[in-house]
Amino acid sequence: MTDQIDKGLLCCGVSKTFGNHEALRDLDLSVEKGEIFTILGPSGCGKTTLLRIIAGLELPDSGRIFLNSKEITRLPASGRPVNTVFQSYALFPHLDVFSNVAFGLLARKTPKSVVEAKVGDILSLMRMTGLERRLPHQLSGGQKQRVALARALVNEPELLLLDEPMSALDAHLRTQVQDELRALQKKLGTTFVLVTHDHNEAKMLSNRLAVMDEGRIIQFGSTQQVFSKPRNKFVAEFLGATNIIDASLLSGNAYETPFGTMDISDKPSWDKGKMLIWPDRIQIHEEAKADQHNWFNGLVLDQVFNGQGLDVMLTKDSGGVSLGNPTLSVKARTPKSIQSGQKVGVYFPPEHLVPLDRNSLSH
Amino acid sequence: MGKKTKGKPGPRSGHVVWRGELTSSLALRLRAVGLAGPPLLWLTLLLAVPCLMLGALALATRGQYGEVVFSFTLENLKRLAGFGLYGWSPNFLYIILRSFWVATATTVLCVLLAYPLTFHVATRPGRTRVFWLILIIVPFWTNVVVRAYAWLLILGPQAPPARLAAALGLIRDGAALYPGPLAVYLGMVSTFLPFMALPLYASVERLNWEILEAAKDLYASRVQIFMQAILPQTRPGLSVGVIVTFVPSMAMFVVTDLLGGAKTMLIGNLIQQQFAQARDWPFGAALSLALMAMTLLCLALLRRRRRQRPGGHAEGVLSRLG
Repeated sequence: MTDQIDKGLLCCGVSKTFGNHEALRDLDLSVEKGEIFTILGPSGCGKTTLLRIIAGLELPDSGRIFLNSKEITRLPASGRPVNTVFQSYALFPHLDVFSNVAFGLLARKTPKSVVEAKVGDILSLMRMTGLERRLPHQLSGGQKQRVALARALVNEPELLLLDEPMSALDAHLRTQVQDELRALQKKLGTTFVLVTHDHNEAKMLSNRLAVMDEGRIIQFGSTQQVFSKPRNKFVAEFLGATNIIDASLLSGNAYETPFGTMDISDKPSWDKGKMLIWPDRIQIHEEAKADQHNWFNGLVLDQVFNGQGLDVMLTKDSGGVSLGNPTLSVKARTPKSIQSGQKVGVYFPPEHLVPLDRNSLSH
Repeated sequence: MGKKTKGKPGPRSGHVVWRGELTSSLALRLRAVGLAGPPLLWLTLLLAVPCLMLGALALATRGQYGEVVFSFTLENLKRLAGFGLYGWSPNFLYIILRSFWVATATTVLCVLLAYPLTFHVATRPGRTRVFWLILIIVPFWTNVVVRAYAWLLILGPQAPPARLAAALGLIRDGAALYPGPLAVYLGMVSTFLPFMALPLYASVERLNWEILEAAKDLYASRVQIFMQAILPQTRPGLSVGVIVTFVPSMAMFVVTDLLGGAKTMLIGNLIQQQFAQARDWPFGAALSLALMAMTLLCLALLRRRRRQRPGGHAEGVLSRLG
């Protein structure tokens, strides 16, 4: 553990109990300096508690927290180089944009000329120049968020915490804000740790992420790694996976599934369990290769154009009535049109079948 | 267009355009009279007319046997200002000032107590919170006279507080803790605390705690957290609380009558005396008008201060605090 102390943020064995609810159970987490890290989990999983402990708004029952090699476990919120962007933004409603942003500097008795220069700089970085005298209720959602960001970043924190940063924004603003956040983080090099329950947010913003449930980290790794190989059914479903299929061992690498016999490259540790295939990994062809592993005849139930390709719902074509057969969702990039009711050949590439561990909290 | 469609079977002919009851101005006006009339009548009969009567009464004089002799004299106002038969003595002005002071002190004490109280209640879990609210509301429903008598019992010579004070040598042995300022303030604050706590609680309950945490996160001291995060959010409840505490405590006479001695006479007691024992209704009316004027003046000042507050740019406030 000591060799990791030079990480950006390091949490060692952090536990926190509220009454008889264990919010955090012996949680370890390390975040690299200068990355955007996401803590992803359903509500009540303890992610907000973790964020509050890192911010200094809550004390852990046990465990230690290090930031850039310095222990901050017992420091008060005002004593640590950490600032937070709150979920509701928590702007001071009676203060204008300038005063909101200047708050932290003024509270630390920074000279007025320095305050004016710094606030001016950060507001121009946030493209908020000219709105200094506006009150929070006169701002749009996106502007409020930029003020909240500016108010935190003007203090030049070593770590910026963001609590569900997109949840209060309209859908069309989210992509824009996501791009801006990434650009901003790159420019400043500050470590960003954000907490969310929205896997899309995590996917679009972070380099690495941790999936949490019931006070523990279930999976940890690069965003790409976690999304392509979720470790168990909980993570898979939480990341938005729908194609989770039962499988049982036949022989070697071949498994029996409701869609026929499937070979799998990544051999699971179990004989009977569940595997996952992402919708964009399934291939749709004119016809299935007869009697070959990983191929089956599919029947298109429904299809919707999603802007880039087709979202296809299909099931296994078992000749007669296909009702009650398990369905699959497929993202087809083929320009060819696919009609509802059409018969197609479906192929599961063995390397894209992901075996899922049984749902257990053990690492 | 008018000529062309005239007489022709246009789309409108053949059926009557439906007129809702509120589409004609007459109907609207009738509805307005119907809605606003009763309250206006109420206010006229029970507020405007009595005020005018009070004004007229204040200009009258007391007859030999306590009857009202209508005249048009400023004698009562002169007397109130202290110009009596034996030269100038500002006794009545003192009483008015003292009332103002007691009301202000009561209000300030209530604010100081209500903040911790409401924060305590608002942070309790569901059922405990209801229990605490009931504890606040029950005295609120209890008659002021009953509560003042309760204080007489508590502060009486045989009760523990007085015995303790006597044992400590603070008061004479066998004496009570009333009459006196302590008893008056205890009575006043216990009477008016619910008036302050309930409106304030409504604000505290809806507090956005994230703003307090944001202040903490941004290095604010305790005073700054209160001034910048709590006060702005609870100001609506606080304003209502201050008004509903200050106004009736200016006119309070029951508590001071029972718990205060002759030295703590307030304008409320004086007015009550004029209308009852002294049978000097005209002077009582003049005093009532003075009280009303004083209260309205205070409220007007409060409002003006609120309006003058700089529109959000509180850099000055912050640096002054820091």
